[in-house]
Amino acid sequence: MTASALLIAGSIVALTVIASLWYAARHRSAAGLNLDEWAVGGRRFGTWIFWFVNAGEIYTTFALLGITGYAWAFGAPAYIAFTSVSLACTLGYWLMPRIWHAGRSGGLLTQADYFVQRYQARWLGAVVGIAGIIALIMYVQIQLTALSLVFRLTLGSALPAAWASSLAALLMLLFVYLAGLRSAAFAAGIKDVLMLVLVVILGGTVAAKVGADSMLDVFQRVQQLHPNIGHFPGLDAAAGLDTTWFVTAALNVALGTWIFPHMFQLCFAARDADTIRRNAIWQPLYSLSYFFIILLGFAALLAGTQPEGGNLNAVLLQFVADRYSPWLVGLLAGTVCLLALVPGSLLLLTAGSIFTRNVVAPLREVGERQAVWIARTAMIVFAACAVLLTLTSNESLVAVGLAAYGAIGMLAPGVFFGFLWPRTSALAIAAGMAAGYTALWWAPARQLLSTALPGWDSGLAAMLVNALVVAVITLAAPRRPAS
Amino acid sequence: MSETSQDTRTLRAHHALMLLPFIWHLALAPMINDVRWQPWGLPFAMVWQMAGILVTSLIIGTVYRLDREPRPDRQPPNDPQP
Repeated sequence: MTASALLIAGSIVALTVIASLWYAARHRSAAGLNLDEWAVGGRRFGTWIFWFVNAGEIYTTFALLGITGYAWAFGAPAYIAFTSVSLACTLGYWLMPRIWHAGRSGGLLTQADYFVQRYQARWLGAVVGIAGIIALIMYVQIQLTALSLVFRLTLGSALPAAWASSLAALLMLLFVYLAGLRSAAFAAGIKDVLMLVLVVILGGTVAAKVGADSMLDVFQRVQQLHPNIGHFPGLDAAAGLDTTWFVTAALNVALGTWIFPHMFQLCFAARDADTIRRNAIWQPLYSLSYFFIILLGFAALLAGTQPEGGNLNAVLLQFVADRYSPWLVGLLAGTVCLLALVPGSLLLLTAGSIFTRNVVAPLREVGERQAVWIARTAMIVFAACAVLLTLTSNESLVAVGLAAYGAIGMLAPGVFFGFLWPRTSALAIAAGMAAGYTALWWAPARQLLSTALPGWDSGLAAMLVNALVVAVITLAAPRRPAS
Repeated sequence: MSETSQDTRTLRAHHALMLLPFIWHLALAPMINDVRWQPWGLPFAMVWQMAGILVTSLIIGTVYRLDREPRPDRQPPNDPQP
């Protein structure tokens, strides 16, 4: 990697960070930075800023590096990118205004707050908080993996993986300490524009780079070369990525999207319910850009791109480094940094605030200054956990992402039943979670479940177990007197 | 929860439209997967999912419009609970 690429990537990241901090400082209320402003943007986000921060959370490195890698390695299974936002928004149109309303009327800051209020149980808030933090750490892992890939690309692969992901975590923590939700929203806007520009430039020029006549010709050629690439199960039939997998995994992602604590919390930041609904109309269209992302994955396949160690997360970076001029490599590296840094820092921020508010505060008195100290220390620990996960895992970003959705899906019954079924109790929800996590993470149970529901996404199967347990316990419990 | 009378909380007939994206993207996916037609040289399964995005936006937009139409039996939104 040349010095000019490094310079471009570095300037993109530095300028964005500085500009977003300046933006947040300008909008800070006269009263100074309080928790409401830091965590939920003062509950004043209008349509545009809400759109950007929402898109910022949905379109992360999972989208850019993960989906190109998936298209390159498997083909059709990458179409899951087209369905996830569409279905999440359809569900969100119904669900998000309800979350917003609960947040507004109860003065809630975190997702665990919702469980405390709805089920009248602080202990459930703590349990849900810890479960949410675990899923968030898995999601941070995705961003750290991407950041360290970029570091190794720009600074040379002599940089050990452990150093690269520690450096990535450090950068992320630095951004969290300096920024709040409002700076993150601004940085998310910049990174979204950069990503669109990058995707259009790469998509527009990629045909010539791989000897095809046009974008469509790339698809034709790759289908001639690999007749099975365009439909399920795709290139690798043994991977089990057939239509059953596709339907169940896509459904699980849609059900889990708003259950992620940071997405749930984001609903609180909207100015009104109408902002949220309008966002749900337009947000799906943005995901049409995955056409270009899949195109890039297919082009890399035509070009015979071979990432180091066959790592499919590195396909796009390797392809661009092989075939494009240094300034574009720099633009890509800088954009990927932001794509990882901005959502990653918000994930840590959310995890820190949940830990302070819902796990520590119920146990002992926590003062204002102490709360900040606890949150920041906790974030370091969570970032360290994510670094460890990064080092021990070699999986595709999409696989890690789906595993994170599986984990967070265990909170979904508590949210959906919470709004739909007044009779559900804290005990039923907790029992459902216990059953769900057992089905998800205890190998024998997981095996049993996969024989019962062959080909299913393990997250959706476990969510079904979870929901059934909640339903049975709720029906069996004596009816409480109407309050 | 007692504050359930807000306008966001009632399901109306046109909300059934919101099932369509799930049918398009998911329920029909296995059938679509067997179609070998390639419009513009693109895999049909992919074109189908992309079209689903347009359909979804259209449907959510339609539901939003219908939601805003005044209903005779409804109180003005955000009216405090008596």
